[in-house]
Parts: sequence; C-alpha cells; structure tokens
Amino acid sequence: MKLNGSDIICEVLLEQGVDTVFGYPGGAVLNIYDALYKYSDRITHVLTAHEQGASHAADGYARSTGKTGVVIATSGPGATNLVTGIATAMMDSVPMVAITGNVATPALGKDSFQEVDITGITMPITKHNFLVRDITTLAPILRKAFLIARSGRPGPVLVDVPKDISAAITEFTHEQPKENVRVQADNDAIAKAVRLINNARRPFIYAGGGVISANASKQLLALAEKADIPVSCSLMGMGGFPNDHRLYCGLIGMHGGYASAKATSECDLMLVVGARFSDRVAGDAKAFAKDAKIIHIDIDAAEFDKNVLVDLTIRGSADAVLSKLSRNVDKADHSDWVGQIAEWSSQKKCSQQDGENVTPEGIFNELNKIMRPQDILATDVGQHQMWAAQMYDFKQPRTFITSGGLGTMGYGMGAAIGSQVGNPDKRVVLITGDGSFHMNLNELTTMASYNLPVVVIVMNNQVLGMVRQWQKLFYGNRFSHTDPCRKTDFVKLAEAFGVTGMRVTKASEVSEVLAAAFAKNGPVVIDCQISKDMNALPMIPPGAGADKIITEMN
Amino acid sequence: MSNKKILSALVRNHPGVLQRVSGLFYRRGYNIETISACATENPKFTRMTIVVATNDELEMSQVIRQLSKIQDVRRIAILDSGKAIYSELMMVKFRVKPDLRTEFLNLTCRNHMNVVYIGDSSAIVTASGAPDDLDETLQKFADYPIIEQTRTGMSAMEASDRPFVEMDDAEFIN
Repeated sequence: MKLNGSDIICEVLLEQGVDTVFGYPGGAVLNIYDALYKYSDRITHVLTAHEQGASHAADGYARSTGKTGVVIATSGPGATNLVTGIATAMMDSVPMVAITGNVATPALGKDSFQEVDITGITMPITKHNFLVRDITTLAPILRKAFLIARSGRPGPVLVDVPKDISAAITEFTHEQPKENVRVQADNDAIAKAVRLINNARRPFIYAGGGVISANASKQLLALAEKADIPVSCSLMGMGGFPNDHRLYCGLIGMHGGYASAKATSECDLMLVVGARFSDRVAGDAKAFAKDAKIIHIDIDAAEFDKNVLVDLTIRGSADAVLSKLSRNVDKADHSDWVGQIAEWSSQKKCSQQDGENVTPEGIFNELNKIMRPQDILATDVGQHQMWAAQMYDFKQPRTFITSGGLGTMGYGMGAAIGSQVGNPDKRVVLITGDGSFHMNLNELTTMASYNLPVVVIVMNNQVLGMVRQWQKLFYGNRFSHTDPCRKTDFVKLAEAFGVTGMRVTKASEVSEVLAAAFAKNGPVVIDCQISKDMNALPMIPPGAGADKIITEMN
Repeated sequence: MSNKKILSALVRNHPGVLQRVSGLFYRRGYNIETISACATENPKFTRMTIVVATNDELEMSQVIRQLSKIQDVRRIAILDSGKAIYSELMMVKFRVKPDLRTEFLNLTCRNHMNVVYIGDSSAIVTASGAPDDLDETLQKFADYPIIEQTRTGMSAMEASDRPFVEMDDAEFIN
C-alpha cells in the first residue's frame, strides 16, 4: 500500500509492538502528529510539559516494562531538549528510540529556523543514529533502529526525519520484527568458570544492571543458592536479587555497606555479572578485589579489561550464562564465609536519628511496610537516591528506576510518569530531593492531566545535600551555592498544578500521611521536611578501601 | 614503527562515518597519528587506515573493541607491521633559487621523487613510500627551505594472496 512517511512511522511502531509513545509536538513534526491523531485508537501519546520530561518518561517506561521506550520531539530545541534523556539512557543501557523532526531536506545545512544537527550532537550518546534522506529508507531504518536499541547491550537510537520525508509517499509492506541478535556464550569459558566456582572458598557475586536488562534475576538466585554465594548489587543491579534473602549483603560501592566492601577485599573469587566496574563501585580500580580471581560476565566485550583487569571473561547474555553456570556448578555450602559476611553486616551500621523530626530512615521503614513487592520506586539523584538504595527493600527486578551512570538530577519526574503509564496496576512512588525536584517539577502538570497516581515524596532539606555533604567532607565546610534559600511552598505548588499537596514535619505523622496519599486516586506531592545535616552514609571516599569507610559525620 | 599500531577498518560508505570513528578516538582519549579514508573496489564500503600512537596492547584491544561497537564499522583488525605493505604520499613545495635548480633536480632524481611543478624560485615534488623512508629522504633536502608540505597519512595492505578482510553486508548489531 502507498503511505506517507508519518503513517509509515505509526505502522512500524505498531509492527514493533509499540502502543505508547511520549513526546511534544512542533513545526517539524506536524505531519507525524497528524498521523498520531489518526492512529490514536492504537497508539497512546503522552504529552509532557517539556521534551526532557518526555525523554525520561520513555526511559522510565522502558526500564519498568522491559519494552523499548519511544519519544518524539520536534527539530531544533525540541531535539536538543532530548539530549540529557538520551545520554541518561545511554549510560544505563536503556532501550529507547527517539524520533525527531527536522527541517525539509533542501533546507538542511542552511541554518534554517529550528534547524539543528541532532545526529551530529547525539553521536557520542546514542548506540547509533540515522538521518533519513530518502523516503524509501524510512521503514527499514526505523526497523533497524528498534533492532539496534534492544539487541545486545541495549541503548538509545535516534532517527531524524526531515519534514518533507514525513510527508512523502511510498510503497509500504508490513514485516515481522526481527529476532534479537543473541550471543552464544563460549562453552570453554563456562567450563573454566564452573571450575573456579567449585574451587572457591570465599566466592562473592557483584551483580549489575545486566541482570535486570537480561531478565536474569531468577537465574542469579538459582546460582547463588546452589553454590551458596553471597550477592551484592550495584545501584543498577538493585532489584536483581531479593534484598531480604540470607545471601544478600547490600549495595556495593561508594555508598555500599561495610559487608560488601569487606567481602570485596576478602573474597577469593568474584563473579561480576552484567556490571562494568564503574568508578563509583570499584573506587581504586587497581586495588579492587586484588586478592580474588575475577570472572566477568557481560554482553559487551568492550567492558572486558576496561576498568579492572580480570582472570576470565564470558561474553553473553546474563540469563543464558547464569543458567549454564547454575546447571553445572556443584552444590556447595559456604556457611563460614556467609556467617562472616553477616557479622560484617552487623558492624559499622549507620543510623541517623533526629528526635521527633522526620528522618530518611523513618520514611523508608514506613515505605517498606506499605509497598508491595511489585511496586515501583523511582528516584532523582543525590542523597535521597543513596538512601533509597541503602534502606528500601527491593524484592523484584524493574522496581528501582534511577539514573545511575549519568546521575541526572531532574530524571525522576519523567521516569515516574513513564513507569506509571507503563504499569497502571502498580503503585509508583518517586523519592526526590528539593534540589532535583526543582529541576523538572513542571511535569506535575503531566501527572495532573493524565491523573497519574504517583506519590512524590520530596525529601526537603532546603539544601543541595549531596554536594553539601562533599563540601563538609572535602572542602572545609565552605558551602558554596548549596544553600539556595528557596522559599518554595511545595503544598501550594502542588495545588497550583492541580495536584494534592501534603506536608510531614514530625516522624509520628509519616505513616498517616503516606496512607492518606496512597488512598488518593491521583498524584500527590508530600513535602517531607528533614534536617539538612542528614548524610548519605556509609560512604567510602573516592579511591579508598573498606577500612576507610565513613559511618558517622556531622 | 614500534610505538605505533596500524589499524585497517572496513566501514560503511555513509555520510558521517569518519566523524563516528574520529569522534570515538577523541572521546576516549586515544591518539590518532594519521587517518586516511578512501573508496574501495566495493562502493558500499570505505577503507580506513588508522595509525595509533601507542604500544600498549591493552589500550589497543580497547580501541578495537570500542570501534567494533560502531554500527557502521564492519571489520577491523591490527595489521602486522612485518606482513604489511604501507605507503603514504608526500607533497613538498621547496624554495629553490634559480642557480640551484639543476642541482635540486638531480637530487630529486636520485631519490625517486617526481617534480610536478617548477616556479620562479620554487618547486613542488611528490614522493611515496613508508613514512620513515620519506622522513629520511626529506633530510637530504636540508639545503632547500620547505615552503609547505602535505602528507596523506598511511595506506596499508597485508602482503598476501587473500583479501585481508572479506567484505559482506550481513546484519551486524552489537
């Protein structure tokens, strides 16, 4: 059949199983939005307040559902507003397809109105990108974009569609989506790994985001239980292993616990699954697990020997590799080692109390009681994000939606919107700080328009807490621009957007206010006023080891 | 050549592919000594010869793995400098006073250089060969000031009967 470019975009979206897109209209995408009007019975478009919000929403949708997120924006500023969202998705390997409009092909390169070279701009932050110059290549390019986005190590792909291309007409034939390209793990490497695991006395697993994106948490649990191996999760791996399991030893890295730091330095075998030894985990890369043999499992060969040199690499999808390993390893009992780790877990505990005032601990204790295992916790970036990773009990994968690699303040609002749109039956709570929330709180208007029942908990300490914490530790309490003296009334602000606003000032009110917020069938903002001297602890200073862990500070 | 590695890459002949490759070197802090790109016998592909200034094997394997992730890069490998033929084209404009012209022309002839232009007080010569040989040749022209000079960067090929890399356009997604 003959279709125009915009109809082709919608048809390929449907072909790829896409029923939800996020975006914002504009001049160069008028044709595409005209098609979305026509296809509105089959494709739901969620309009955000700003393109950045749409990009984070597509990302949150993808992380929470496992599907590929789709975002649409116009040329020029519409496209550049996606940049932070695309870079966020790239750093955390999130499958996303961004479709941007551009000026018509004859106007390209002439500094036309709202023209920007978005393929040039996004080259370093996409897995791949395309500028469509010929209508006959549009459908094949879009199909390839989806295949690239979800195959191997997932990531964002951008397709730039000039306005004359979205209007041009060509023959269109439906095609079935192609199967993901799979990497078969090398059997010799598997056999070597099995020998190493069977011979280990103090084995330890460091699980990363690859466990989540490969849907490998069941296989991870099976291996850990059969070979009796304790497990730590990186920020991205959080939810990949049940936090209430006897083998779980907590977050690993800069804000990880004493147990995971000690286990890292004392283990004789470290099994790294779908993780990349980020500087926030490895600290001093040369000293990381230096007495252990390290097995690195990853889908991306470029991660091998990039940050830390390892003894054995296995390239493959975490689910496939872990299930082969757990089939072949011997059943083991490392109760002495597991007991040792449990003892470390009970040491150097941090607990920050503040009299009758609300504390992060108090909020998470309450959330742990009322959230169901499948419910979703999204965050922004900063102290509140670390508190969430440390104190919230994650039980299932795809329930922690957070920007790890890029550390994008302002990520949370969009991410929570995308998570709620993709999971209407789950409770979505956004934990944010007053700093992060101020960046993209405009998206409250989106929550109101679509009546998304997201509960936004603003941990309001009146300061830019994480930076301020570093100023306390490393910059002699010189609080340069971290105490902005803002006068925002978050309850009134919420109400102005048509959202319910609540406030908590006393610890005793937390449970009641949360229950009231959860009972509302719509968005709620809770202003949780906490002390500016609550710190994200424990903390291992950059480049230091477990012995330098900070568990107390003012 | 001991502190240099020669990479040969077949990339899709698309606009922007040079930017994708060179951008990766820039972002990740690898040093390109020279890069040359040209059409091949197959119009779908461009061949790039990239000389990387490193003798760090680990860094080189990172370079190759990172480059392999670029969708438009189809094949890439390090050429063994012992088994490769490599050559670049050099073009030099010398200051040549009229009274020294004959002597100059004799010198170019002895060094297998082509004189492609003779002006009132200058001459342009071209020469091709391995970069080290070209450097050595230039030293023999110390009496003639260089007005300007350009070099193409290295092109390389494995000295064997088979193509160094087979070309195909199969689906390649990493």
